[in-house]
Amino acid sequence: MRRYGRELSVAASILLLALVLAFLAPGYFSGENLADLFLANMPVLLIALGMTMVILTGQIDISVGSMFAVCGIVAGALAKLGLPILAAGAGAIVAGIAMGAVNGALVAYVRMPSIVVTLATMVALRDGLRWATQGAWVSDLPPDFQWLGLSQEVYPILIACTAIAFAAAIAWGLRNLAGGRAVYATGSNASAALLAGIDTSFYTFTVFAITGALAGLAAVLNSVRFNQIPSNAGLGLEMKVIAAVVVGGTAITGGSGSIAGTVLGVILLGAIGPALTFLGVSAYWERALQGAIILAAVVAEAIRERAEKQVVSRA
Amino acid sequence: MFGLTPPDAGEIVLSGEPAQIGSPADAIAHGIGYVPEDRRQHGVVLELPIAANISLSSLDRVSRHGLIDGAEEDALAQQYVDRLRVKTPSVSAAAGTLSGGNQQKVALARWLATDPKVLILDEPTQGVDVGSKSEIHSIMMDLAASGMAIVMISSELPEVLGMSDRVMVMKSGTIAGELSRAEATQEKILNLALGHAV
Repeated sequence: MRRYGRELSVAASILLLALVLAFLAPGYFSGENLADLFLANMPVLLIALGMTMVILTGQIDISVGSMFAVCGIVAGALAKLGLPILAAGAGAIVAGIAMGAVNGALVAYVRMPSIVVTLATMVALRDGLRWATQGAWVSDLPPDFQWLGLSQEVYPILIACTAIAFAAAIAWGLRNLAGGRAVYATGSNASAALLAGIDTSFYTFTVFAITGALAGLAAVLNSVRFNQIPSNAGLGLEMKVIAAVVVGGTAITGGSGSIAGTVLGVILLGAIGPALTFLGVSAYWERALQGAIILAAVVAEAIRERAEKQVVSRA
Repeated sequence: MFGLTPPDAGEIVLSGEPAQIGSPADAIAHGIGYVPEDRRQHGVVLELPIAANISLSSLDRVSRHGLIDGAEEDALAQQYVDRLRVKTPSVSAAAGTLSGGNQQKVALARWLATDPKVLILDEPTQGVDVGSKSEIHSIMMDLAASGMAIVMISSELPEVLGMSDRVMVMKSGTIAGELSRAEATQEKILNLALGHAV
């Protein structure tokens, strides 16, 4: 298993960005801006934790943006039916698990390629939602829905703790649980893992279901920030999530990567957009710059892989 | 036999008991191990450390309630690395850094760690250097002497003749004949394999 090369280079990039900002735009580090930044990227982070596991098993899930939108609407609709916010939130997470389980079952047991399955569910869920809501947003939410019924000051602390707890738990589990080992083995060499007695289908199914659950949780935590829930939320979210995971050093071919890398990837890609605005660069450059970072990450990965192959073949 | 493809016919009898085997996990539970032919494709997981490769089929032995005990895992791996004389500086090195013969030993170690009653070895010395090859042969002899049933699949005649107590010759997926150690000669095996009368 490779050491922390990628994590260090992403961390160094973040540090460099922070230094530049500290000199040129110290306003970037105001508490308000950082809190905004965190809240805006929290859904990306939570879903990226699940996506890391999906990519580690050698699969991909591009339906996360659509699942995010559906779960947000489900949470809002249940809250309007009079359910307490915790029950509405739990309902949205169950909806996420169900959608993730459908993806997982089709990939793991029907053995269809994950890119095809999740492309289909992405479109089906997105257009199904459009049809169901007729494009209308959910508004007139009950007052306790806002900020989960907490104050606007307590809420960010709560979700910061939630995000850190989930990241730490998944990182720890991947490293220390037999199931985490199975996830790496499945993505690194599925047939060897199967022959070694690992139920590769079960783990593939499970990581998709977990990703659905995290999309649900992210949708609930995000929707309580606003007084309306859009029916077109999460457009393009899957790209942000996948980009963060790849920039964080998880091999798109599976079997290698870490949660720490993903967290750093989310921070780098999330921080760089607003930084441009603060530095007076047109925001139109944001996506181009993000694209360049992703490309650099993929090229670095390819070079690393080639170097490693040479070492192996010489040995 | 290892539960990868559903059987066409026949039954598996282990120590007098018929066994139902529907997956590799079932086979392991019944004490059957299988070291596959193509170790790069199906044997070792190159990106994982040697220790993780060795413990992969016996994770319940080094973990409690699904929680892996790293020290115990390393100790288990070190035990087999020493016993099979795998040439590596450390059990935490990636399996991909090893030579072919040592990778094959790691694949073998994974199965020995499950403490199998029956060990199936598919072309165990193909593409392995001469030194490792004779080492693997002597390990197989030791295991057989200690009471393990070993099924070796090999297309290398000298190996078959040198190692076997009983030779089953297969031709296009069916058993063409059975020879005892005393009867088995290169000529007889080839005759059966090619379908001539003995």
